[in-house]
Formats: sequence, structure tokens, C-alpha cells
Amino acid sequence: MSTAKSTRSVIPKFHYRLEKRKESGIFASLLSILVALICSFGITFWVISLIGADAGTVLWAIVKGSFGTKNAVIDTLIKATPIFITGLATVVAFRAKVWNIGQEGQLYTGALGVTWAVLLLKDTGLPAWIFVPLLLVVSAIFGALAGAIPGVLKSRYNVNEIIVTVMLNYITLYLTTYLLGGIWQEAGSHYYNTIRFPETTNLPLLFETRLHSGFLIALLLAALIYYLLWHMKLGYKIRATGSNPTAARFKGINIQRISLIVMVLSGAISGLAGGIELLGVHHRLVYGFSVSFGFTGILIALLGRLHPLGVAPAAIFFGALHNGSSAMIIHSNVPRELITAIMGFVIIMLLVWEEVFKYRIRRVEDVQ
Amino acid sequence: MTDNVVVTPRNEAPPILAVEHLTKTFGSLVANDQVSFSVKQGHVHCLLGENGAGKSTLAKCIYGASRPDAGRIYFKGREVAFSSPRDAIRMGIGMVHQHFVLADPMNAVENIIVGEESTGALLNLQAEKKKIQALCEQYGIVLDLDTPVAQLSVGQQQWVEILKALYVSVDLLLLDEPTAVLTPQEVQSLFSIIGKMVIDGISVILITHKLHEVMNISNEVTILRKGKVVDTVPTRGNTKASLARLLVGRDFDFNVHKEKIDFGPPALEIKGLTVLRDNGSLALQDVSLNVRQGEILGLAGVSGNGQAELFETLVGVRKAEKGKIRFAGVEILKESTHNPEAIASLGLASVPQDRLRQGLIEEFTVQENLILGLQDSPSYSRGVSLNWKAIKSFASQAIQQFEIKTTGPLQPVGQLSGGNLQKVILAREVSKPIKVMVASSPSRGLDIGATYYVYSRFLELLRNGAGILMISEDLDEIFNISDRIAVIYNGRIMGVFDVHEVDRETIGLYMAGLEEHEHS
Repeated sequence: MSTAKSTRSVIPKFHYRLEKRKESGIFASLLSILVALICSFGITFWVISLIGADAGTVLWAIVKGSFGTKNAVIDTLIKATPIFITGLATVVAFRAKVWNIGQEGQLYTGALGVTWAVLLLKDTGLPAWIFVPLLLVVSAIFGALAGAIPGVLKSRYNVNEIIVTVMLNYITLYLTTYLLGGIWQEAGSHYYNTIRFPETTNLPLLFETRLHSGFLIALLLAALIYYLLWHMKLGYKIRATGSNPTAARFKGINIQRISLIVMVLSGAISGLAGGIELLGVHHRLVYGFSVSFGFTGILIALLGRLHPLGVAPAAIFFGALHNGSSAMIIHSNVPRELITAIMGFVIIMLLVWEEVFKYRIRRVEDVQ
Repeated sequence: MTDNVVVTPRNEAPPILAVEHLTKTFGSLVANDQVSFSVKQGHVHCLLGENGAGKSTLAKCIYGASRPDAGRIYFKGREVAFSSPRDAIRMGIGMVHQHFVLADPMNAVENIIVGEESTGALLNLQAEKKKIQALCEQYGIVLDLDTPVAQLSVGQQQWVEILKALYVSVDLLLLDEPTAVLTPQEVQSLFSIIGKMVIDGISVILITHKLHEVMNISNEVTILRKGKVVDTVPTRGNTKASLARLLVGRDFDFNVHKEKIDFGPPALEIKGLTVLRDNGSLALQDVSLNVRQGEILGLAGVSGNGQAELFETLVGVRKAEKGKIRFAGVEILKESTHNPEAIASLGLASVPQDRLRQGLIEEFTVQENLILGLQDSPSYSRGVSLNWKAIKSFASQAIQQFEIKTTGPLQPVGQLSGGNLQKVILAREVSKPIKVMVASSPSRGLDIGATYYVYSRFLELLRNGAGILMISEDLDEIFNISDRIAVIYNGRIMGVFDVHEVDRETIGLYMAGLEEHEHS
């Protein structure tokens, strides 16, 4: 037995083992995002080649279309604004593990509120410096009310918030369509849209470009939410409730009240996104003004790892893809749907690599 | 190379199991570091070590549930490398885990033969039952084989686990902390079963951290500390004190030195408390207890007899059906006061049974956990904002004062060891003036140093006039520091005793619900 062993001990032996990291640092996190982007663009390359187009040209068109010129950058930021804000709305709710899926509906409710207020006050001659802030407040209040419905139902009667918010999405969407096809429709219009809002409702523009101040509001909001979550008592309770509701409850945090507050806050932010989009871009309520801003916001919040500082780049990235798709259509025969596919690849890759980077491969020496 | 050869002294049977230089790591943690020891045929061999010393990991490696990084295992003289417990069982190694793995709705017979392909495609339950009955008689096990195991007591469930091993006729049985959940009487029966197994030539490895068990039953003992073997010594010729020195690495005084404190008026009075479980069944029936200032009332009982519900009612997260709880001059079961915030502000501190689930937030940092529940206090906040500066200085102070082993106030609490988690909770709970402490299994999972640290903090609370209600199923703990002992069984208080006027056996009988003491 001993001879067999001595020969074995001469050769150093080792094997590899996969093990979970105790904590993954910010570096690993960023690296995982980079790897995910490279992978998803690799897949996109391959898909474009399958269609028969030149992948290089197409991707270059997207990049140029989203960041190539000053105007392109500005358009990207404009496209990023609503999803940035709905992303922030998602962060607030999901941090408390309250699953608000109703951003789309709450955004519509905010837009309905703004439209209602504009139609009511358009002839009063309110100056812009009163009118615009007033309308933004109205959009937030309407959004908050829309959030309060699932909020009260959940905190009082423990009704599943996912079902309620999803159903409210449909209700608000169809209510909007009904109003646009009826009493709110612009006289003589063949489209589902209201009259154009007066000039005094326009969000101020930044740097004498098309970029409206909604983007600034979004940045401000991100800072505020960061402060809320990590520097305020309420934010502490929100995070405690989300991370461990049992311990939070045992230590006197009223988790029912927190879930209501969070729903109302999240709804208000989503409603604000609707108001900003109308006053900054469309200047009227028009059918389909939201290109799934609410749902995209959820994706962005998840990609931004539920952190306001992560939501910002994620929103700009998605804004760029949206914006770049227009340029892509002009410069190639690739359908617009490719952009949606790219978004899908990116999301899947980000989630996969996030999981992969939680592990590391370690060489284990066999001690003889 | 000589140290690699299994040493076979003359005149002695070869060891049934030999472990050589076994190493097992989890990331940077070395759970077993070059562990070598051997078990003689027909011996009871104890693996003694504190929590986290690597005993369970070692057992899992032997049983094939975990693959060692390095080292060799010899069983019956042959080198073995099990890839799963199935291989180990086939070779004749059985294991009873700390947490039983039984199918609740099935009866003992079905649980015992499950996974045994020797029975063929068709089950002959009657024949199997006869075999098992014979085993029961042979080893003196009293067990109803037809009852679903969910309805058996914890001790009886353990007999089922042991029968599973006997049924496949193991030659070596590993028992991982088998007495942790048993009453003293059940421990005695377990030890007598082990004794009969040894006579039949079965070798037993008993994993424990209790010195008196080692002294009671083992032939040899291997002491582990921080993943390394300190020594293997014969039990005979050693004492609890000499083993303790090996276990802790220094002389250790196991006595809790309590000063004589004159008990004050009741700090907490519970009268006729009736509480339901979530499923509507009775958890507590007409429970009356009082805790006086300056005393520790130990509440002994096998877990699941209403202790968790009592704890939850006291901290304010479970409603009571009937009864009164008077605390700090206030009847707290009223609507306005029966919530955790109000009760805590009256001066109730609590140490929950399940630290990471009920007492701490894993992802939160040490400093965030230190203010959980205190976040609204003006000491740690300014207006609507938290005062991180004040929180950090409080945290640094607490870390120093309670000797919490951490990289600092900003380390996520999930990365701390069990003892340090308990210290974080204690530091938080006693950071404000308190009148009563309710502690559930305060030393569970702690090493000896941390346990006695917790006890010393308790004594300090008593000196400051607080009363302590300590819920525990560990009778060592109960007898170690209680002034009075109450026993709970099936949601009812079976009796309350002065610690000097009662012995373990009596308490054990009440814990099993066998006697009811007339309330005096």
C-alpha cells in the first residue's frame, strides 16, 4: 500500500471546483454587465447575418443613430426619460418586495389627470410657471390614486397586488381609448387624440435644444430616491420590509403601512412619467403615446439592480436602442422588431451572467 | 510515509474506520484541516467539538454526503471514496442526521423500508413489519409502527431513524447531535439502545458538544477545534475538566457565578393566556406565569409545545384569545398597546429563536441591524432622516463593547458567525433601558465562549433590576442559569419549580407530559 502511495504523492494533484462567492464586488458586477453586452451583441450579429444583411452596417447605424450626432444624443435622452422615471417607480416598490406591475396604467392615469386639468384650465390664462408645476403635481396625484387602489387592497385585505395592478393596466388603457374616441377627441380629427395643449403647458427646454426639462426631473428624482432609500427612516423601513418582512414585523415596523406607502409613491412617480411625456413631447393626449413605458421601466429597474444609479444608465441604453432603431430602418432592410429582440438578448444575457458571476472557479490542491 | 499506513497494534482488533489527513474547505473556510482519527470495532467514539469545529462536515465526508478535498478514508481495512450516501449505506455505514429526513404522512414501517430495493417490486409490508418488530424487541425500542411519523414524538422519530440503519444492518452508525432535542428520559433510552448495538458489534460515532454525554457513553473521544484534531484520548482516565481544557484550549470555568439578588415584584405577569396557532388549533391554554425583577425564569419544554407562540404573543406579533399580560404597569393585550413597537418602548427586549429570520436582516450591515426597531429614536435620526454619524459611532461602540468579530459597522450581517449574530441582537436589545428580556434558546449554536458571554450579559441585566424569561429546550442551559423553572407541555404549564428543589429527571417527566404538578 505504501509504495502505491509514494508514487502518487510525487505528482502534485489538484482539481477545480465551482463555488459560490460570499459577496460579489462592484467590479465583478460591472464585468458581468460588460460580458453580457458583448454576448448579446454577438448573438445580434449572428441573427442579422442570418437575415442576410451586413451586421456591421446595421449595428453601426444603430450606434450612429443613437449617439452619432448632438441631435441623436438628445433624442436618445428624450426616449430615455419616461422609462427612466417608471424604472425609478419600480425601484421604490420592488425594494419593499411589493410587486407593482401597474406602472403602465399609473402612467396613463397621470396622463389622464393632466389632460383633464388642461382641458379644464386652458382658458384661464394661467402663466407657464404656475401651470406646468401644477400639471406635474396633478399627474403625480392621479398616479398616486391609481397606486392607492392596489395598495389599500393589499395592506387591508391582503389582495395580490400583481393581479390588481395588471387588471388596472387594462382598465386605464381602455378608459383612455374610450375618452379619446369620445368626449376628448379633437373635433374633425380622424385619430384618437385631443386638441393641442396651450403653449403655457410646455415643459421648458434645455440648452436651446429639443431636450425638455423632464430629463432633469428624472435625474433629480433618482437622487431623491437614492436619498430616500439610504438616508431616510422611511427608506430604511422599506428596505427592511423587502429584505426580511418577518424580522421587520418583529421589530415593530408596520409592514402593511409600508406596502401601502410604497404603492402610492410608486404610482405617483409613474403618473409623473405620464405627465412629463405629454408636456415634454406630445403636447396632447394621443393614442399609443406610451410605447410600453411602464413595462420597459420594470425591465430597466431589474437591469439596474434596483438601484437609482443603475437605473440611469439602463434607461439611457434602452433609449439609445429605441432611437437607433429608426436609423437602422433607414440604412438597412432589417425590421424594427430586431430592436425588441436585442433588448430580449440583453436582458437574458444580463441575468445569466449575473448568476454566473456569483460563482468562481477555484483550484484545489490535493494535500498529500 | 509511515504515518500513512494504518497502524494495527498487536492484540487489538483493526479499526473499523480510519480517516487520514482529511481536508475539506468551503471557499476560504477550512472546515476540516488534515483530520486523522480511527474508530475501533465495537466502540462508541465521540467527536467532541464546539459549534463550527467541523464535526458535522467530517461526518458528512465519512457518510459520502460530501466529498473531501483531500485525504483518505479506510473502512473495514479498505480505502473507500463514496460518491453518495447510497454507497456508504451499501458498505454498512448509516447516519442519523440532526434534522430527521422522514416522510411525515407515512408510518414507521414505510419510512424504514423506503429506498430498499431488496424488497423487490412488490412490497410485503407484513413481512417487513415482522422484521422490524424483531429489531425493536432486540434493542428494546418501544414504538408504534402503524402511526404516521408526523404524530410521533421527536424522540420516537429518532428511533425510526435508528431503525432505518439497523434494518439495513450497518456496521458503523453516525449520530449527529442526537440528544439535542430529547428529554433526559429519552436520552437514557437512546444510550441503552447504543449500548445494545455495541454488544452486537456495531460501532458508533457520536457527535456532540456535551461533555457529560462523552463521559457517560464513549470509549474514546476525538476532540476537534477549528477544524483540526486536538487529540484522541480514551474516555477512561479523563474528566470533564480535562476534556473541557482540550475542547476550549484553556482552563474554563463552567459555573455561572450568580450573586444573590433579592427578587423584586413581578416585572411580567401572564394570567390565563390562551393563544391559537395559525391553523386555529390551541397553542397555549390558560398559561399563567410571572417573572420577578432580578430573576431568570427558565421555560423548559420540547420545542413545538407553544413556546414560539408565547414568544410571539409577548413581543406583540400574535393575537391572544383570552388572558392578561401585565408589563411595566400596563395591560399590554389591549388593542392600543399590543404591537411590537409599543411593547418594546415599554421596555421589553427580545432575543428570538431564529436569529436570521426573526431578529436580523441578512443583507443589512451590522450598523443597520443594530438600529432595527430603533430607527425612529431621536438618538439615531434627525427629522425624517437617519443620522448615520450617530448610528456609526453607536455601532463602533457596540462592536467594541460586545466584542463582535466583524470587519466593521458596514459588513453585511449575513457574513458573521452565529455567536456574533447573537451579540449583534443582544447589543441592540440592551442598548435602551429594559424591564424584561424574553430570550429564546439564547445559546443555540454558540460556542462556549459566546454562550458564557451571553450569560454574563443576562446577569448584568438582573443586577439592573430586569427580569428574564428564558425559553429553552436545552436542560443544561435551563439548569445552568435559571432561578425557577417552568415546564410547558402541549400549550400548558405543567409546573413551576425552584431550581434547587427539582432534578433533571423530574423536569424531563413533565416535559414528556407524564405528570402534572399541582400549582402551589
